[in-house]
Amino acid sequence: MKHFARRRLVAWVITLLVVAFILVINQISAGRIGSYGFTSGWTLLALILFLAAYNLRKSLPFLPLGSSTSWMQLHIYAGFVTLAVFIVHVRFQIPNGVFEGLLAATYLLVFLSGVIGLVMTRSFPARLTMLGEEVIFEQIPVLRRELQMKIEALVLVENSAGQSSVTAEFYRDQIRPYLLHHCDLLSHLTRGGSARWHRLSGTIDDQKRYMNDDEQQLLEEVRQYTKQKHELDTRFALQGALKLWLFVHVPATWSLLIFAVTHMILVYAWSGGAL
Amino acid sequence: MSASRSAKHWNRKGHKSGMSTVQITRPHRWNVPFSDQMTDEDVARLLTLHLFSPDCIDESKFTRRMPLAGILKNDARLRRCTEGEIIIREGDWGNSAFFLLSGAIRIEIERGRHGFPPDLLGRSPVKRRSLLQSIAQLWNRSSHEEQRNAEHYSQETSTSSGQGQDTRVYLQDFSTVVERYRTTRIEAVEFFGEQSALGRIERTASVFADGDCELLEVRWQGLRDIMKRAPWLRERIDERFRTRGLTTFLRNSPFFEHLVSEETKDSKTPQQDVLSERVIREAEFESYGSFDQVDRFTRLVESGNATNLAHEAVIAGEGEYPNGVILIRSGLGRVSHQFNNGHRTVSYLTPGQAFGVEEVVESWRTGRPVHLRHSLRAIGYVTAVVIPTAVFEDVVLDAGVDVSQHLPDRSDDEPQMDPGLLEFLVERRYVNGTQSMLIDLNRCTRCDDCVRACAATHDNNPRFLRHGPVHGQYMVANACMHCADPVCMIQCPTGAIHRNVVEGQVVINDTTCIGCSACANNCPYDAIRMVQIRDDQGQLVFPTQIPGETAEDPPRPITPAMKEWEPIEKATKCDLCADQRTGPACVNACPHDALIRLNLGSHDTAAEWLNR
Repeated sequence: MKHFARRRLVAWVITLLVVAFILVINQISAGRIGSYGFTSGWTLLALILFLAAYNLRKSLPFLPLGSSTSWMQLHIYAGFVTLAVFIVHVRFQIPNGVFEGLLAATYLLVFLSGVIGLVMTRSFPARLTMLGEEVIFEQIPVLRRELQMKIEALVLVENSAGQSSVTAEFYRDQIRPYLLHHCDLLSHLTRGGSARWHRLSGTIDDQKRYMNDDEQQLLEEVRQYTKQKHELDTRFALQGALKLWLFVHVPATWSLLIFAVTHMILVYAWSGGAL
Repeated sequence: MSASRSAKHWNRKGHKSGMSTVQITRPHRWNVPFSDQMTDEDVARLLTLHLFSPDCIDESKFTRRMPLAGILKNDARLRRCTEGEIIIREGDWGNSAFFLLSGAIRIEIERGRHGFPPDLLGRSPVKRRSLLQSIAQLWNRSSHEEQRNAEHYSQETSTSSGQGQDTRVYLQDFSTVVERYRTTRIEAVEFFGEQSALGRIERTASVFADGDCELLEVRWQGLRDIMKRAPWLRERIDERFRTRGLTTFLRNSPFFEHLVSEETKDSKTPQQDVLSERVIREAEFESYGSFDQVDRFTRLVESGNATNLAHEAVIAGEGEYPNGVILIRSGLGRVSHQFNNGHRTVSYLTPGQAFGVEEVVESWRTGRPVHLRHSLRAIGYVTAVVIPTAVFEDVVLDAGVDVSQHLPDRSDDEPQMDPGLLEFLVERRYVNGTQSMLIDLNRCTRCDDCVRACAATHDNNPRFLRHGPVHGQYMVANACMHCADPVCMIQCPTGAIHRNVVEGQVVINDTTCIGCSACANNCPYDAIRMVQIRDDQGQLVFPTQIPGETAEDPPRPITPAMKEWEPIEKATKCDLCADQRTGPACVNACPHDALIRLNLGSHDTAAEWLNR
């Protein structure tokens, strides 16, 4: 068994054992202490604090706090543990209070954004690799603009001497809209982003029937450039998503921490000393 | 005044920036001497020695800018040692050579388990930042890119010295050490330590003072310049490089370990005698390929012809009868075999590894000639020692040595790593790297946590680019690989780029770097970047003076109208976070197990990570 498969298996076994342990402890302590959610609540808060601490670890790379890989592994599996604890804590029910509902929704937002992030971080890198040459995310708009200028130079300048206006019109009606069209993020993320480029490519094939050899060659070059634009769009979508999900996950985590602490204060404040 | 030379300059981010007001002389080779203890009287005395007399060295061959006296004053230092003082420690990385002027020294003969134990050598722990110093990096970071304390440079030049300052360490019980361990005594006038200094390799033996002695320690840049103008010294060093190097190399080879350990148990004889004289006498020292490997390699890559094996010298050809066992002494060898109309790389050999052993063993066992199943080619410049078949059979095989345990685990036609990747790593010479940064692009999310961590540990300046040649899913990033043979060091005039004496990382001394770019130009992997430094106001630092025509001339003031008016630059590169408590921050910061620092010289280690 390879390293990653073995690591995944071991991590899941440990995760399930921890979940089982927490469930048992929760059942035992619920009867003794008098509050069903006492143990699960504190466990959940502790786990969330630990999960949030990963962000702090990232900003202190010069301290010997363990490798980020280890933290990430703990982050992933502790995150799954929180789901089990959360379900136990809410007694397998949908919270009915406004604040509790908000708290639960925030938790679910953090959890789901984490799962989506995990899926993306495990699947998108390989797709980026398949696109070929590495491109810095921030440079993609510049590169797209350069491609557009290259195509315009090809179609409108080099082709201007003694040629018909068909190519220029084709550029105006078909190519330019494609170049100016912002990439469909979702469609690129779900591998559907190729459809638009394939349609354009088919249109180019159709148009070539009416072109002489020089014009056909020119359109072939244009097709290659549009393909590069398509790949840049895909890269932009994939890299953008890999960066964007953290802008949901991290702020939602901070909101969750605030809500959770508030929830704890309220619970203690309204317990009347029962806790 | 041209626009580019005006007092206003544009930085990389496009912001307008002014000029620093710090008064600083453009750094030059002898800004920071090897030692500030060398006086003109010392130099005058050295010049009266036979070693530096006109009979041995023609002073007229030295330039005005770099006279012999200047080299002795700035690239050398005198060391007066007393009994038991450790001069060289085995395993340290050498940056200097020694001339024994008076007295005597002792050199440790045995290595490994028979040699000096580490505690005897007084090896101090590697200096790292304390926990508080590490935490202080949170608020001590510079607010400008490549910010330096420019005033510090101008003070450094007059008050401090280069690497020639260290703590004196003594053997705890000199007489017991001499009694218990095998050493050999060497008396003046003799030189030592040159192999390590010139070869950019570890010290192979410990050396300590036998009574009072006086040494002249010369940093290797100075030695190189003297050698250029003193043919006798060059010839002598070359000759000793062959003899001493061969003996040392063979003694460290696992194939001859049985000879050394058996014969020297109770022996007090010098090492050359105990390591089977026949092996020393009949072993052939060969070199293959070209010295100017860096230039040639760079040209090959630029021409896109690096994949063509025709430029690599054949050391042994497939199908030939093996004349002997080939032991790689330095450089890298490509092991390949004929595949259709080309050659498929099966493996590569690093120093110490052997070629042709299987065939010689099979021939010895079966009694019939066995031809070589693979070819061995020199990747760049390779030196090798050939042990003739008859000698190997007599000395090793007939003695019952189990050679199989000393052979790399290599199956004939199925390399442990993807063949294409293996070809890529070999033809681009990445196998030279002992700490190459490999990124698995199928796991890398391009989050740049590695780059941010690098910046956080280097005063906000990342020391590598997450960019570089890609093969399949693997990228070899443009980060210093801390090469087995760091060619970047070859032309450094000041020794600013050097190996950390204890751990061997290739590091740059920012104070002694004069910004000549020699290292950056020599690095075939684009791992060294020249940067323009800024003061604490974020202004570029310009020199207000430049060195005089000769070593004695005072500095000359310069103005923006002069062609020398260029911002002061420094070479920067990855230092493997040598002073951090965490080790390389980039590796520690990667959340997805995508980045590693790997010794690509070890085929097995590389294959293990790549096949995980």
